[in-house]
Amino acid sequence: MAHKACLIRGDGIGPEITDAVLSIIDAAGVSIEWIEVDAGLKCVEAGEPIVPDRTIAKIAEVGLALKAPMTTPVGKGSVSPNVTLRKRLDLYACVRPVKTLPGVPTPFEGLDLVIFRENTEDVYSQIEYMQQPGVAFGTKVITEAGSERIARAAFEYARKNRRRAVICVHKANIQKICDGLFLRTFQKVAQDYPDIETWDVIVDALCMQLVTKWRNFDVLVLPNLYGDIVSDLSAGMMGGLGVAPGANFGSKAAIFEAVHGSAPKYKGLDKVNPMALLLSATLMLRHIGEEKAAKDIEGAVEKTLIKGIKTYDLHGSAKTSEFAAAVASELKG
Amino acid sequence: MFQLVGADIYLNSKSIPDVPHEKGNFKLIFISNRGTKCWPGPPPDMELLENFQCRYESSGAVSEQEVDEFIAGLTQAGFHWTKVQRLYMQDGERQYSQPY
Repeated sequence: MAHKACLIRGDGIGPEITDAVLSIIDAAGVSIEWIEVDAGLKCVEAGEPIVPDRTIAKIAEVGLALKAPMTTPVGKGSVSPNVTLRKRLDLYACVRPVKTLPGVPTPFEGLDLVIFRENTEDVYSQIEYMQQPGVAFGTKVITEAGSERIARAAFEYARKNRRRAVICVHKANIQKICDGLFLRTFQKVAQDYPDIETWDVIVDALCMQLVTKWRNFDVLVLPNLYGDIVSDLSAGMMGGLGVAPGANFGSKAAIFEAVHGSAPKYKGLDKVNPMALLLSATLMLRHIGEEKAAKDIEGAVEKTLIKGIKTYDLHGSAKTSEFAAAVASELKG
Repeated sequence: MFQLVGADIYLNSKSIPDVPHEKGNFKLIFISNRGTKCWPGPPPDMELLENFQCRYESSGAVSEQEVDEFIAGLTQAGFHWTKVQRLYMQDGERQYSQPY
């Protein structure tokens, strides 16, 4: 029986990489009934919210979506479609596996992290005020409930996937109240997982240590803002945003997405790397129990890269469609 | 010039608070939970924590005394507010953010 998943084709290069990814999933023999839902610039141009209520309702109903990058219009009053989806669907855990790939050389051999970024609170609550002329105040929201569920999600993942350690990343030496609550809650949750090694590290020290002692780290748990920054730092370490997968989990729904932007200047050029969305799709396949297909696709990607078939961002010359065809060919062969 | 037009009132409440929709010059614009709108319109599919932001705006300028009296009325009605933030406009533009 076919799985059901919502599909957001996105803006800019989104539709091109979506076509590439769907062709590879098809080649892997997984049957998915894709339910296309509207979001992004075309909604704004039609005078609708960037993520209409009907789209949110449909994803909540189906419980699953694959999302290509969308463009946040520049200007006052614009909201990020990505943050809107995460907040409206309470997708509280942004999970980013970060691992070096064969055929994607980096100075960080052996890098193997999983980042658990709290996805709904912190400064992303976007509560800001001009309190008086020349004085802006922002609100950082950290709650015990929000901190507990992200910590627990990380520990559960670590236990299920036989990971060695879960590390809490914070700035509680300065943000004593907010990050102090995040850290204390993490430490309380950690007591339920005595089989897993834990420690904590201040976010600036983590950034330095990540690029010097990356093998020391394993599963990281961070509040939203630090998670955002460290996720992209880590994506750069594995070879760039073009190869970095991402997933957003809530208790009722999950959205799998490429973490890079919609690159409008490359729209229609059949040029960009579909790997980030493809590897996000493999996370989705695992989520729905299609472990073999996920492994097959990852293996086919590795073989394709090792053969030197790469897109421009990895110093190759393959077009998006050529890369996809090569991966599909490995799957069929 | 900064013009006072309303207030955000943060309430400790177990559920979406049943605050007045309109009182004097103030009209309830939305209620949010950690920055995500939960009234009006379809409620988000999220876990609501016990702290709600209630935004009240007027159609024009209000005085500081009007804001004070409005908040005092909420206290008298039994609402437990944890924080109040005055809202300003400048040159026709809101000087405060909108919820998701």
